[in-house]
Amino acid sequence: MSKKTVTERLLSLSTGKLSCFCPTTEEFRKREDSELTQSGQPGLHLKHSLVTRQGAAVSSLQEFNGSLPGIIQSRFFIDSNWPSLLSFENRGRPAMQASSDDEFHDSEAGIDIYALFNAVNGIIRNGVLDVSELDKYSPADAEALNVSGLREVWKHTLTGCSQCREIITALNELRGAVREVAETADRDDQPKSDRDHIKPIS
Amino acid sequence: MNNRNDNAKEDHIPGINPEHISEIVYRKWKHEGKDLRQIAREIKRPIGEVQRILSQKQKLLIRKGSIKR
Repeated sequence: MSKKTVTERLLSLSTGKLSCFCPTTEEFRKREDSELTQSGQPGLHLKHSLVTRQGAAVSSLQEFNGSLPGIIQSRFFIDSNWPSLLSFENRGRPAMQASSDDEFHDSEAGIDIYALFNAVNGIIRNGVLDVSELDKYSPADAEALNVSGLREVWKHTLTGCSQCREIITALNELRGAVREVAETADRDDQPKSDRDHIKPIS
Repeated sequence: MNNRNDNAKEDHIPGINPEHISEIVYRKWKHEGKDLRQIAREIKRPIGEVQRILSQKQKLLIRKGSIKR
């Protein structure tokens, strides 16, 4: 019963009463014309008209919500603080930049900074991994290692990528640190001197 | 299952347990300072496979945080 009342009231809003909340197309056109005359800048006018249209839509819906009967009834919710998809500030922004670079740092295909480091055996020349080491592979090995893909990774390292630098440093430390451990272990593994086998005379 | 195990036995070179091949590759790289070609030759595996095994091991160690990035 109450549902029917609500539907009737909503339907009654759909024609004449809504016009008082939403300005007509003619009103918009007049407002835009006056803004264009005031600003004198075409770009500013375009941006401003988008904002005013959005603002008008939001305020109209907010007023419309207020007019809906009952407290528990479902309404339209609009967060006016949400960043606008239409805003000019977002245009041309490289949204996928981070994820595309991640391919160079940890690729499922295995063509990444780790593979490049291993392929050039960690040799660094002029502050970057020595790409000339890749030329030393036979054609079969070059194909197996995907040397052309590794060259792309090397080009990426030339951008001064901090993540690549960190990985290279970590790999160098890994190899160096373990070498130190290995040297220590080798010393421990050495046969004990004869002196150690001599039992003390009691 | 048995067939799969038989294939694994046929693939691996005598004296090297296939389960330990990752450790062997890594050990040769870090302890002995060998490069991919040398390791591939010594364990008689394709260089591409050695590359993949070594990279995976390195990533695992760095992700685990045993080496500070």
